[in-house]
Amino acid sequence: MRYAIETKDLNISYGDNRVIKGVNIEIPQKAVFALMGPSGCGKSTMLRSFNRILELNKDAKVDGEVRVFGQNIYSQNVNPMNVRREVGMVFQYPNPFPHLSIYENVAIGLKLNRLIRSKDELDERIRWSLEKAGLWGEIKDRLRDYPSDLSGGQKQRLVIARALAMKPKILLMDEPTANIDPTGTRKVEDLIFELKKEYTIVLVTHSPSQAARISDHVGFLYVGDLIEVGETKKIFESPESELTERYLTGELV
Amino acid sequence: MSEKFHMEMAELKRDIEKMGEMATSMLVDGVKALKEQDTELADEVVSRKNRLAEMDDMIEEKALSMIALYQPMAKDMRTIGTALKLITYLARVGRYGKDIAKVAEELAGEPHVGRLVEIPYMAEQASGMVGDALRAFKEENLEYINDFTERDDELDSLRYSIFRECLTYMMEDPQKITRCSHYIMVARYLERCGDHACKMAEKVTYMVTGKRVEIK
Amino acid sequence: MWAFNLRGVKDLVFLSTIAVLTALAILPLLHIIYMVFSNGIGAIMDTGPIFITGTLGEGGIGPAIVGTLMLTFLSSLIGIPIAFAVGIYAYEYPDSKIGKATTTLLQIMLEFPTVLVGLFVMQVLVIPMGSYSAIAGAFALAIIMMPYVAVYTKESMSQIPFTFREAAFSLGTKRFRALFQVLAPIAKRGILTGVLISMAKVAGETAPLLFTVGGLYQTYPDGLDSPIGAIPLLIYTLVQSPNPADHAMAWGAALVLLVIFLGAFIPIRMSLKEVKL
Repeated sequence: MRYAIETKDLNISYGDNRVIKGVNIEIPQKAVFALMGPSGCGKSTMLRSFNRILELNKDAKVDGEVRVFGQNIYSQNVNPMNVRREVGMVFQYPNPFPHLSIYENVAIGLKLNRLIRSKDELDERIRWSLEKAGLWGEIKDRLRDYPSDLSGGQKQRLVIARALAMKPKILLMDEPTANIDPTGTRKVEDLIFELKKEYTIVLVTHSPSQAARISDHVGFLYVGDLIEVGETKKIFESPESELTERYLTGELV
Repeated sequence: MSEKFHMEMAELKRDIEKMGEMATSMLVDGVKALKEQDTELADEVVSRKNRLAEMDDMIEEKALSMIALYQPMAKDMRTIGTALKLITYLARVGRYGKDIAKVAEELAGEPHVGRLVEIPYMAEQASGMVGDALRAFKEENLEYINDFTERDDELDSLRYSIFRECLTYMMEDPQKITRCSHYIMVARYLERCGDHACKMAEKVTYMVTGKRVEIK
Repeated sequence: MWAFNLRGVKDLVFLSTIAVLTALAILPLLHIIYMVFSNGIGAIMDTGPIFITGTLGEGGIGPAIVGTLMLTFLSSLIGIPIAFAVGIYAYEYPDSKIGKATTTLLQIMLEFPTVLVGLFVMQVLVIPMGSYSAIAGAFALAIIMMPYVAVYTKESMSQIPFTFREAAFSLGTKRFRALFQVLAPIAKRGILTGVLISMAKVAGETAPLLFTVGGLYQTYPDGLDSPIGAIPLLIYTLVQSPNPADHAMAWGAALVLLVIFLGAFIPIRMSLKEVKL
């Protein structure tokens, strides 16, 4: 069980349109793995197969295996809900639930799943999550406020806290800084750098620079094919594949 | 990477070409001044060192600003890294040219020993290697440099034979010691130029293939 | 210079036309309000507070007011939970047989002639029970109310950005928890709007009550299985009488109905806290 996530011949289609073509990828534990590639090449789709949230889209069809810590999450007897508790997710648009306070947002996953009963334990967990997300200092006096008062970067860190509260082992991040200003982006990136000590993070990003800045491993996806995978340093210094080279020097868009 | 970046990259490469031409010409003209005992030429070669230093600084600044502004990756990044190294080597080649010109000034007025032994031939070989390394950089074609090991070996053996020849002359006639010692120095400079050309070839190989090799 | 002027003139003409048309559209409503107010206020003033609390014999419409409130409340009790559940189902499973049938049926029911609903309930409840009743009226009103609530629910849920759906499910919750405890509250405003609008609508319905409630104005209602009155029904009855005093009372009742409508439902809707996305 060396890898956090492994796929075997993963194929994903929307109706007749195949978006992920026979991908075999290995994602190491407790590191940041970036998935980069031009728009529309299937990165977000593939990411969503790692926690089976792809199923919310009725047209999506998944073939092949996705193994999380060795277990194929697409086998018959696996309940997607259990997968999602192990594999948390952060989205492109910071989406804390608008009708819940900051405190309730972090608590919601725990409450809905009846994971924590006592109020004290809950308070403790909320505080822990917000500290882990680097947000506690900024909002500890505003727990009853609503997320609409927060900046984009803060909202996203709140979303991260919400995911962390479930104590997942893996965090999936779909272009988490795409809609945040540069200062907020920097804070989120610093946070990711901290979190990777304890969590496996899979990061889909539009920006090769971001992948270069914060990832340890990188996979280049192009039109549904996994072109190249390797250590970040190697890929950005001298990639093996010409296609990767062309993408990084801006020839492929 | 944007249009703007690629235009600046092309300009950077042209600048390297120009600096390369200048450094090589300093080397070639220095030896020419020595051979033809042309002190005016020698003087002029020495004065070129300032322009060469200016070009060195200018190219370095351009390269660094491209890094700051564009954060280039992969081949683009390797090209800029190579450019930065090339200007250092070219600066040294130019300096050797200047040093040889200075020798020319000192030795002018008295006849050569042994028709300058094999120094002119050695100079041709060394400057040829530098030129080929630059051509490889410009055209990103490694064919120009795939025989560098042999050529560098030739330079080594030339230096050695010049050394032996000069020793013989010096032992024959103590009056020739000054001249011959200078010849040995010049041969050493030329051999070093060959080494620098090899280093340049290594960097160009890295730029094109991403792999580090050793050429000596 | 010329071009600029021409565009300015075109703009002005366009804006004025729109303003006039808008005024024309609002005018009838304003006229109705004015008419009801001016005609009704006299009747109420003349009778005094008895108008609101007294029975028909005492010159008041008390039982009708109570009747309307009871019927609205009862029909909401019956109709809203069912309609809400149906709306959520149609949202979550739009492609299922039930989901598709529901969507179509709902569309039909929205336009269905309300008098036929009354007839249906008469056949099904009134005749077997042997009498007009509040429950029958509430039932008929519920049938009319349900499609509105269901459609509003479905549409409001559909407006929720997909990203919240993903977020809710990504926490590993069961489907119905995600729906009812996370998503529906986000759509709260839209759903409640639908609920209030349909309650306002049924409070003013007349046709479904024609064959179901019977009308009760001399005494206050005493049970769900006995006849009951309602303000719109009362107005209908009073207008048909030859007695001008009855007409005056009808205007007064109309004013009361208008006040309930405007005074109760609109402030409630406006005070609904908007869920800021």
